[in-house]
Amino acid sequence: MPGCLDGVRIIDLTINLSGPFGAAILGDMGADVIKLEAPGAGDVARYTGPARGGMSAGFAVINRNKRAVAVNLQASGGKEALLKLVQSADVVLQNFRPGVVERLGVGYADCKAVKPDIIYVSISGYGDSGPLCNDPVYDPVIQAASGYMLTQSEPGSGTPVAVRNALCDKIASMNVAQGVLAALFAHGRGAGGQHVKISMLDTSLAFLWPDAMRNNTYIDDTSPIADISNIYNVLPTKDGYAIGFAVTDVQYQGLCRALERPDLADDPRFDHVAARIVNLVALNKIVAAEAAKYTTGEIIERFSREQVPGSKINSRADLMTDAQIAHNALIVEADHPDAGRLRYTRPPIIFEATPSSIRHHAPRLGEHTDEVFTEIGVSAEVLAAWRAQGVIG
Amino acid sequence: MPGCLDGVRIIDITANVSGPFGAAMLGDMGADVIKVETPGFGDLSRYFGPLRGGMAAGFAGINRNKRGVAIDLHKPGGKQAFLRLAQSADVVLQNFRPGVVDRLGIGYDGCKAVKPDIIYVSISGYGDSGPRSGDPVYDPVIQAASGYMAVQSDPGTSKPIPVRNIVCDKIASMNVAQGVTSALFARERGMGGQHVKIAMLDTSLAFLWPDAMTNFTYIGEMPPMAEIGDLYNLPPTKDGYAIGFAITDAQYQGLCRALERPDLAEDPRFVQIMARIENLAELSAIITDEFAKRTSAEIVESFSREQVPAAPINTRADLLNDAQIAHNEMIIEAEHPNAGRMRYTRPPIIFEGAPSSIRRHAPQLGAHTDEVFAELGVSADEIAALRAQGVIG
Repeated sequence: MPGCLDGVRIIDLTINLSGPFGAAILGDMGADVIKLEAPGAGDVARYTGPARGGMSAGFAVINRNKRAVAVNLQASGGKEALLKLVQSADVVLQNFRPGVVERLGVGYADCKAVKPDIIYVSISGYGDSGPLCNDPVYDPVIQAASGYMLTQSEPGSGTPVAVRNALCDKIASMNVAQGVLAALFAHGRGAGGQHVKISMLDTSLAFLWPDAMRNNTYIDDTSPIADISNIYNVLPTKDGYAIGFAVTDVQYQGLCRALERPDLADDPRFDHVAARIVNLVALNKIVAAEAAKYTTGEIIERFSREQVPGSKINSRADLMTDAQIAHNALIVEADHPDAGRLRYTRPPIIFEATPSSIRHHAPRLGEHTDEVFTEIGVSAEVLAAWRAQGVIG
Repeated sequence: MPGCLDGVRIIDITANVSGPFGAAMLGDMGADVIKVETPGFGDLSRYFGPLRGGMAAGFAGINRNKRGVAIDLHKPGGKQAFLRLAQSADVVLQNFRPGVVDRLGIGYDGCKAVKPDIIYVSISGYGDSGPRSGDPVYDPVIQAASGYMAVQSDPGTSKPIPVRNIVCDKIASMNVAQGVTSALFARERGMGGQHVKIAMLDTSLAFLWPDAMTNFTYIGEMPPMAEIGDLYNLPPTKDGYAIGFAITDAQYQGLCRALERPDLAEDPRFVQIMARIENLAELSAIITDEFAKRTSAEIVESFSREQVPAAPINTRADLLNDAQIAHNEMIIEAEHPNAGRMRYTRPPIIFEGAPSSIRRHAPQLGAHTDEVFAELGVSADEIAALRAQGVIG
């Protein structure tokens, strides 16, 4: 069965993480993603992180389901080679700094001239105008600018703490996939092509807002309440840690049974949800003291029996042997032709009629240059001439 | 101009965050989202967080662009009322525990019987089968199970630390929006409707994998490398904190100029990227010393001048008057009819040909019950009778 995006062609000029991960999500859904890099070194992400067979592990994961073409956009003839590809495509993705694609002659207007209904997606750090639009960014820069590092502070401390994964890049990736999908749907219904613009600052802020900015949502005269994750009580147990998180009154009654504290079940400080919010600190202390009497296995078993949301806290290594993750067949082992045996997560959305899939491994730089240009009718002679002139690699 | 999903109707029977935030993204893009709740109390998240006009701030944020309908699915007649809605819809979203919708008669089969090409999205914590599929979850439970809390630990410790926003719920939301949009696109191309399944455990792990699991991606003997979070160095400045983050060799040269350390510019320990990764600890120590001699503003100004990725670390309050955020018009003030003056983030993806928009505020429970059923051709007498029987509210 073909995936949702079977027959859609995407030209991916992006590097690093925000664009490539977004393109990988679309490739998982069946799109023909053609990754275009500069000959020579290509995407710097090929080399950062644990490397094997000349390819870093992170690169291998987020560049699966892509074919690779090497074109030098700075060489004369490079622009023409790209525009030929664009003519055959539905979507172009780019994450150069604002202004660069126009200087190279491969901006929205240029692509639209050769493919009038192209969907052209521009990804930036801060937006395409404004005081910071020319500043370079990486994920931690946007974590700083968009508030993540201070929302991650320990309660009561003003020391910024980084979220220890490239969250802001990957939130942008999700919006890239979303923007392409929505524009493709609109295109299918007659809206034509369009320019879609995504900035990491904007997507990060929109993601942070619903819960982490709730004390800043209503303007004037509301009394602030505890920030969301001050409620997240990590419970030390006899042999490790666990999470137990009762929200509803029914779950709270379950918690009292799980901890064998019937006295708490009708304690007026805690016996309904509004009271628990007010007396949260006191309740968290009691729960922590009780949880410390059990092993992690015991406490989780008790929570599960009483239907209190709870979990052991999986380390990275635990994820490889977790029973539910195994049941979900979520971690897929495969052989990359250069990098060897590796682990992917399977595409997470299960489409029963149009399944997503991992069909190709991440390619070598320029691995499919000849194949792709041949498909669109470029002759062997022209290819040889381009290669001799350093236009393609 | 209409949005990308103009003319698409979505019935949203989800509660809390994972489903509602996903449905809000689709509403922003123009879909007619009808939120179905139980009469009387409705979605629990109406009451969680800073409250005004009977509505929590977080609820107001993620339930914009929806109409509110109240149906008691446990009453005889409730199922029929719901299926009438489903018949008029393109998409149904649900996040009950596995098995519940089938017991209520409103599962995929029930909806498909009245609308053969329905796109039916089921959101679960762990999946619809497997050892923990019956366990209740909230965001911190999935943060524990999917490795986020372990990844967030300080280097060299194993004490789990939560990510301090509802990250796993919101990652599921982004997958919900993608799942719906790509299934809509596939249906438009003749693939019919389908059941789409999304588990928070699956989407969380897929999101964590590319960067935070690089040491577990390649199987076999690999020397472990620094985790990405270890690179996110936050050395104190004279008066606070700033982020400065050089990756490429050009950025490193800029960093040496910004810190007025020409000696470092040719130091063989650091001069090229692979060497810097190897000697990260030494380089970090030097940068820490240099940061301590300067104010945060001096760091950001000199880094920006030298095109080194850098930013001040915004507090929540800083976000409200940041010049770039203001330039992007990312924070919108509006008047909610019940809750009063409030702030939204605008829909972050800019579609130039089919703009997203905020057209409605979050509704009171059942605010549009009569309007929606009247649109479906249900007579005023019938609506009155259903209300008298407690089927609708």
